[in-house]
Amino acid sequence: MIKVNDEMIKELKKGNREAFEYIFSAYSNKIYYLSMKYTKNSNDSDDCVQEIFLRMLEKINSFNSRKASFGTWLYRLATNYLIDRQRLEKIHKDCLCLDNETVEKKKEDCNGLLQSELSQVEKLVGERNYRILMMKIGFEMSFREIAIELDLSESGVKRAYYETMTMIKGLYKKG
Amino acid sequence: MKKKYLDIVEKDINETYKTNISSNDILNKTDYFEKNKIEPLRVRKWKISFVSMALSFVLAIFCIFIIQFGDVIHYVGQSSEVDHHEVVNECLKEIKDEYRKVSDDSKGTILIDDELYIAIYKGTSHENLKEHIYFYIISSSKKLPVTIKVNDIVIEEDGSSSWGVLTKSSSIDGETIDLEIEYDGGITKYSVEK
Repeated sequence: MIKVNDEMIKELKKGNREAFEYIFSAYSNKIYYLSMKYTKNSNDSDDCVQEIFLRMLEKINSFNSRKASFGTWLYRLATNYLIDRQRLEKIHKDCLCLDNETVEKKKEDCNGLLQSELSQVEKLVGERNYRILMMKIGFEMSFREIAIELDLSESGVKRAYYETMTMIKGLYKKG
Repeated sequence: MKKKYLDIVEKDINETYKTNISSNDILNKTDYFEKNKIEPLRVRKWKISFVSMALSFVLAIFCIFIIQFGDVIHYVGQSSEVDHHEVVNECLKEIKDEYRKVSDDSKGTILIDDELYIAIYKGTSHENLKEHIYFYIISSSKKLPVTIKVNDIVIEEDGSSSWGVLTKSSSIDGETIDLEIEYDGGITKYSVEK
């Protein structure tokens, strides 16, 4: 598992390309996962990954490790971008999609990813628990931060997380 | 949580959610790294040129100051090096400690080129109050040797500030003390009233 530490962030702020490549390899697929949850489309998600990392470079100097971990900061930057993008797309689609058939199809698209598109673990633990797992492990967020982001109680997040871990444990014990 | 399960999750996400974007795609679309490398260089160049200009300016002002006010600096330097009056006062205290009836007013002072200051004082000894003793106090800023000739007696001083007995006399009526001072290659004669 690739860990991004403060030293790496300092190097990125100085303009070290290797630090960027390291951070990209640590977070690019996690950002892609988040993007897929919002866009439901791999091409759009790739665009989002690109855009989010470009934004990260624009704003990296405003990152303060005393306020939040880098993972939390990046997660918020990514979700803020994805929410804004979704809002803009919705306005755009509302203007363009005038026929009922197209509107209905779009609604269906928004219901979530197809089961076949989910990962093996995700299928097992469910999309919500997988997201908690991703936030905790992938973005190294605290239970409190996850609870705030998902508008859940901290104890609820903890319970979901440990249940998820137990399920994963069971899955891999079975082989 | 054990590292094993962290790796499982990591592997799971990397297999299912794998972006087609590479770090090079982003590096090619940003000037962030160029900016961050060029800017410090520019700042450094600017800093160097500013420091050079500031130093040149200060140096120029200093040179002008030296040219214009060199003499003043020379004079001030010498004056600040030795305060003749302070030296005289200190020596006079020492003389008063060893001798009696030492007058606060000097019998005469000699100043040569603002460098050598000689003051003559009068007093008596504890043993013989009728005998007049004349003292010299030397204050020198250049520390050059001084030779004083008085009544065929030669007094040599190494140039440091000091005092000593110039001459002794039991009578003062109508007499003078004639001095010949040799200093910095020149000889000057003085006469001090008793």
